[in-house]
Amino acid sequence: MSATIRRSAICVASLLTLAACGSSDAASRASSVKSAATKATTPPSSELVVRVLDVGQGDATLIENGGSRVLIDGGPEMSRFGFLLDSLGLNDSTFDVVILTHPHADHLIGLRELFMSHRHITVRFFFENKDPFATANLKHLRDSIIARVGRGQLIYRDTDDPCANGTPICTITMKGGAKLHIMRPLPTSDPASTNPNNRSAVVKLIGPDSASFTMWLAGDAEQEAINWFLGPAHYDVNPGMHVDVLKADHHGSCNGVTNAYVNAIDPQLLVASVGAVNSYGHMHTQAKALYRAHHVPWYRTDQNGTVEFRSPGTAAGKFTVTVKRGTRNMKGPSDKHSTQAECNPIP
Amino acid sequence: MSDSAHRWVIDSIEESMASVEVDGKSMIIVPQSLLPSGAKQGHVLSVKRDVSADGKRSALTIEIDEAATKRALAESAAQVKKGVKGKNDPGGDITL
Repeated sequence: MSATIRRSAICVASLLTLAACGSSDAASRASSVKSAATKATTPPSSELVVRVLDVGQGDATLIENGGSRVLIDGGPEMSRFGFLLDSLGLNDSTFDVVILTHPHADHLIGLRELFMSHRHITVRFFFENKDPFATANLKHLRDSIIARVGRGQLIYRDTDDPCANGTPICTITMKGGAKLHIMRPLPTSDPASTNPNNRSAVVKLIGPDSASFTMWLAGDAEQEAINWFLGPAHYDVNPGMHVDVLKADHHGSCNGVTNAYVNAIDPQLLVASVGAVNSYGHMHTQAKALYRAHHVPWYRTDQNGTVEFRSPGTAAGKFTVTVKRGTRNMKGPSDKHSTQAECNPIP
Repeated sequence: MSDSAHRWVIDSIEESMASVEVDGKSMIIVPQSLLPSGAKQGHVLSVKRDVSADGKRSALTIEIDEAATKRALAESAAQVKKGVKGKNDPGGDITL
């Protein structure tokens, strides 16, 4: 199916432009969009809401379905993530599942805010790869987690054994029927000498009606890990990699994508979580060229703000995309050509 | 005269730039070219600043602290052992 045909199934609403498809319900959708942008509300039982939060140069994705709440990463700053918790009305709430894809600061630091006592936030399950790493931020986060484990308030799982029973894939079913498959990352016998990006946990999200919305999120996985997904791990077979939306690996870096990866995922849309001013050249021009060649349009948090997906979670339901500003396929001020060998050319 | 010492930990290195945790608090980005050539992600660095008597010149000495790196990794590994699968985790898929 061509990308053009498939894209017709997506409605896009911008808070500024209200450039929506299917105009009859655009006005009602616009009002609900404004509400959603200021405060997270408990969605109807089957509705699935995914927000790729604008946290600057980092990652944080919030998933809500039927009253269940899952967070993947927390971005690079406690203050920024704390602001988002406040503005989304998430103090005094429960995060059923929190996943730290890997222990780099731009994914980790914001998560410390969840454990600040004044927020009264409950975390039921916490997943991370438990690799040793020397930063104090990781130590402080783990101190908070382990303290709650000790009090019997939290279950702490290793993404290398996500089901705590030896199986490589663990399935979480949310109250509204959406499912997340948490997959084991690239294995290593020596975590201290392995690129932490390649130890990123992988998540596939499937809406209550699997036809309505699916998404693939693999943290900062680079090409070595991607080749493992498609090779020894056989994630293209189980749980399958074809989805509607791909969260760009590694903030749109050219080392976080290959042609085989995009072919396997075959997304309608890409979303990159990236800071407008970053020192790494994200999104790399080679990555954008590859996505363009595969007819995959993108949104990006630095230019579009928080990117929100909503799916009714019902048979034949279509998902909508809401951005705070801007359009598809925007450029960012930090975008650069990378000189990395794995990007010239991207395999 | 050495007027300050700092502990840096390399969080990540990409595109010749290093993200560094300073004294367990703030994060800074520094060019990789300022670091020792063998510096890698996860290394603990010992950083000393020397300032000339007239205050017109300063010099940073940045060294890989292998002993501190090993110690930090060992402490990190020991820490997660405390949080192994708890008695309250039956294992298996999760239904929320």
